[in-house]
Amino acid sequence: MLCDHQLVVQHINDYVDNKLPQNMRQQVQQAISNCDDCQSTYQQCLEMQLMANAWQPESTPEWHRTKFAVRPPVKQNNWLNWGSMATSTLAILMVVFQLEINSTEAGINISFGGNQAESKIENMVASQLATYKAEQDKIFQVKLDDALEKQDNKTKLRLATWLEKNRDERQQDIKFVMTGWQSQRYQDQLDADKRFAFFADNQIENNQAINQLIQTVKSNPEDSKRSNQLNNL
Amino acid sequence: MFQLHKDEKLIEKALGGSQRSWVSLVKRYEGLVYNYCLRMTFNSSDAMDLMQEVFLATYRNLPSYRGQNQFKGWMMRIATNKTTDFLRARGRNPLHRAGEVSDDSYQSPEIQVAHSHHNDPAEQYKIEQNNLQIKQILDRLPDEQKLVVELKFFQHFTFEEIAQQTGNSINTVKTRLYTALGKLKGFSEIKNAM
Repeated sequence: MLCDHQLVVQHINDYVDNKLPQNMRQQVQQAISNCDDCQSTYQQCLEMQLMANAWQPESTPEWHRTKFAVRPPVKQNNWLNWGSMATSTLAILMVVFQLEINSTEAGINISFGGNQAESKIENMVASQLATYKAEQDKIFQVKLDDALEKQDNKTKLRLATWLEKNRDERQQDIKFVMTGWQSQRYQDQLDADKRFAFFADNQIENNQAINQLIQTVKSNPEDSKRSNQLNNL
Repeated sequence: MFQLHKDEKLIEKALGGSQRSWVSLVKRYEGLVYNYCLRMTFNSSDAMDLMQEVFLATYRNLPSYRGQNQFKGWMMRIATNKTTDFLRARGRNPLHRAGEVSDDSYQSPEIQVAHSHHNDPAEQYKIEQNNLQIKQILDRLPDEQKLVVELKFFQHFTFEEIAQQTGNSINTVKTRLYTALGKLKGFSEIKNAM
């Protein structure tokens, strides 16, 4: 019967450690039972394991465990620490006391409490306000000019419109008045004509009466003188 | 889990410059590494040198340890690399076998002091003889096979881990182990060592 030595080679340790699945274990077991070489390998593996277990741990001789391995902690120079602390303290104090260093044409001004900054801020604010005011005035002036121009135009337009409308109205009024006047004149003329006609009629009647009177007078000598007088009249 | 956490803490502190943490970490694993080196080099003096190299390399590479694996596995990978280099360098040295006649015939005073910690000299002698036999058996193997036997039977790594540590395929590792077992066949010393 041919033996699969490779199977034993591959799994002999797991077999010894009892880590093989059941079917594989049975195959290896069969190979070990039937093959002298595999049996020998198995025995050797067991013996090697026993040998390993038989090893008595030897104590380690004393040795310098940190030599060449752990570097000693680096000591920092104290002045660096103090220098850092002093710098930090100075910086904090400068902030707390509002130290200000201002370089101007007159030189360098050093002040505490932030006064320099306040006056500077005030000046800046005033300057900025003046700028804003000038800009605002300019804007106002422009807007005012625009408004005036618009108003002027509107006024002119209204005036022109009003004049136009007024002229028409006046013309209409005049026409109405003229019509009324002409109508009145015509009526007056009619009345006058009527009165003249009436007056003429009266005059005719008067003349006739006078003529009759004259005739009467003429027929009466005494009255003829009066009649002449009347005729002279 | 607790052990791993503790390793991490010690590593963190050691990286911060704590010598005490580093010493604690070394003390935890130095026995394992020393015995490993002893079996691999067959010589206490070489074992000490190699162990120191391993811990030195471990410390220098400590910042690159990400904690993704167990510290032991990571450290043993360094140990494997160092051992391979060490054995290769020693193999090139013609004087290397000169002192093989009597292993540990010379022991430095520190080693003697360390060994004298055992109370019973007879017991100590017995242990030394037992270990000597095992070392002699292992020393008959070529270095690469010895390394695989060491990692499998003494360090109990899986084939995957051994393959990772040695930079070989799993099949190569298994073949080397099988070959090593074949070479050790018939060595009565194995049984005697038991």
